[in-house]
This record gives sequence, C-alpha cells and structure tokens, in this order.
Amino acid sequence: MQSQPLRNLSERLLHAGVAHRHVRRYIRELRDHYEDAFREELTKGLDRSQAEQAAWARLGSEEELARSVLAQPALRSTAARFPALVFGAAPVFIWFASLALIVFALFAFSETYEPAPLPGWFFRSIYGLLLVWVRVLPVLFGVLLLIASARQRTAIHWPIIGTAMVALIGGTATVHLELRATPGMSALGMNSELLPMIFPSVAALGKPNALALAGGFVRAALMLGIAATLYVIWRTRLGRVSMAI
Amino acid sequence: MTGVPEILILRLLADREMYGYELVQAIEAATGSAIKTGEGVVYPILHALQAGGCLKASRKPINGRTRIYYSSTAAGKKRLELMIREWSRINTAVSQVLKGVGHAIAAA
Repeated sequence: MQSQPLRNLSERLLHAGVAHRHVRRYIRELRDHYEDAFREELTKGLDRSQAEQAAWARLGSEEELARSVLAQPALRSTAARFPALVFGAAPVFIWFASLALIVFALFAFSETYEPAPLPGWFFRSIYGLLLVWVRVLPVLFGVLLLIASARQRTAIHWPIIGTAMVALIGGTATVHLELRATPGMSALGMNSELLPMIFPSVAALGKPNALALAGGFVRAALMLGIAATLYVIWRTRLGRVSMAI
Repeated sequence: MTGVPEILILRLLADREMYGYELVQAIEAATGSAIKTGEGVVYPILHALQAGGCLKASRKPINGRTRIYYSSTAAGKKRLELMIREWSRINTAVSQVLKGVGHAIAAA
C-alpha cells in the first residue's frame, strides 16, 4: 500500500484548516477504497505492482483529492479558523463557567439541605473539588489544548497563551477551609491574589499581597511546565508509534 | 459540473444505502462511465452532505472490515427534488439556446 501519498494528503489538508476528524475519516475511507480497487485490479490479471499503480490512479491525484475536500466549507475546522477564540478565550470562559456552576450548586445545596447545618464531609468534599479546579484542571486543559492544536496543525502559541491564562488564574487562586466543632461555624472560602492587584480600589477583594502573588506565579509556571512535559511525552510516544493522525 | 456529483449521489442513495466503493461503481454503471473523476473525490461530497443533514452514515462490519454505509434522509430527498427541478430548468434553457444556435448555423 502506498501510504506516503495519503500521509502527504492528510498533512496538506490539516495545514489548510480541514477538521482533524474529517481528515482522519477521509484517509481511512480512501485506504479502504484503495484496498477494494487493488483487489479488483488483481482479479483482472494484473501483478501486484501494476494493481497497486492502477488502484492508486483510480483514486485520483493528490491535487484532485485535496481540491475536492477544500471545496467543502462544511469540513473546515472551527479551531483552525478561530484559533484565538478556541485555544485562547474558550478555556478561560469554560474554567470560569464551570467554577460558577460549582458555586451555584453549592449554594443551592446549602439552601435546601436538611437538617442544617451542613456536615463536615460536605465541606471537605467541596474543598477537595475546588482544589482540583484551581490546581489540576489548568494542567488538564493545557495538555488537551496542546494536543488538539498539534493534531489540527495550528500555531502552538495560542494553546500556550490559553493554558498560561488558566494556570495564572488557577495558580493565584487560594481555597480556605475552616472546620469547627461548633455546628454552623465551619467555613469554606476562595479568593484570588491577582484580583486585588488588578483592582486595587475594590476593598472587598482585599489588599494586594506581592509575596502571595509571586507564589501564585510560581504555581502557574509549574502547572504550565507539567502540561508542557505531558505534551512532550505524548509527542514522543506518538513519534515512536507513527506520526500523523 | 457543479452539483452533478451531489445530484447523482443523492439520487442513487435514495434507492438504497451504499458504502463509498459501491457508490462509485453504481455511478459508473448508471452513467455508462460518461463521468470520469478520481474515485476518491466522492468522499468529501458524502461528508459534506452528511454534515448538512442530507445523508446519514452507519458503520457495519462486512467480511472482517468495517464499512461506512450512507443512506439518504428526508432532508436529502427534499434537496434531491429541488436539485432535479433546478437541473431540469437549466437543461431546458440550455437546450433552447443550443437549438437556436443550431437553426442559426443551418440558416447561415
């Protein structure tokens, strides 16, 4: 099977902005089609080499195949068309939206829970969940964004920017839990070291703390580093198995 | 040739579901090999028609291989009707022009 022309075609389509899932499916169907055509050519009495050439010729030239895909706007990737939106802004929005959802669920639960006050296990569970949100989720986002960007062959700076933003927000956020023996006195809180720096005039956000902010930056850098390391491992393993899609 | 592959695909898949290779052979048989293109160009059209809701695809294991079968949807049949109407309109218009040119050539 002449797999190099199909590999060239898939690279060309991905770089042109065709969605990864469409390219993968197209190449799979072309490979199947080639196999069928090859078998049919063999039954006509051609030898293997002639049958291979005939089957490939029937499929069409790389130029013809590429043009047929690029002529279909429905097959274009949103990420390739709007990389800043998909890899830069969307992760930040999703992170905030999911956090807002957790806070809303927490509020709804605490309002309806009977018998009040809320038990200690509830506070500990939410504390753990919020810690995952601010420390682990940015890393997961980073790895997924970098992998998605590599698969779609888009420029790598947008997923790095998106990951850095989520890591910065997560790294500079802190979660506090105070569990008290007295019923109703336990407290769970979350604050950001970044917001008082951005909005120093808003007293409710607290006073700016340069040392705490520096700690947040270090955590953000670590998260970005872990995400980048996991991505490099993925690339290395993929390179060993086989590159492409 | 714009729209010709789409109308052929929608027409043939309106009768029964087919996988890509089968469909290419059906097109060749139905047109008497009058339309010759790379056989691989049929797939992007199938994918786009599926994305537009005109076709649906399902995977089926046949002889140890998984085939993607395509079949027409209600939206696909509606689109086929519109395309046939449009094709007939253009065909009539072009035939009239050609007939006129034919008379003009004969008169000269």
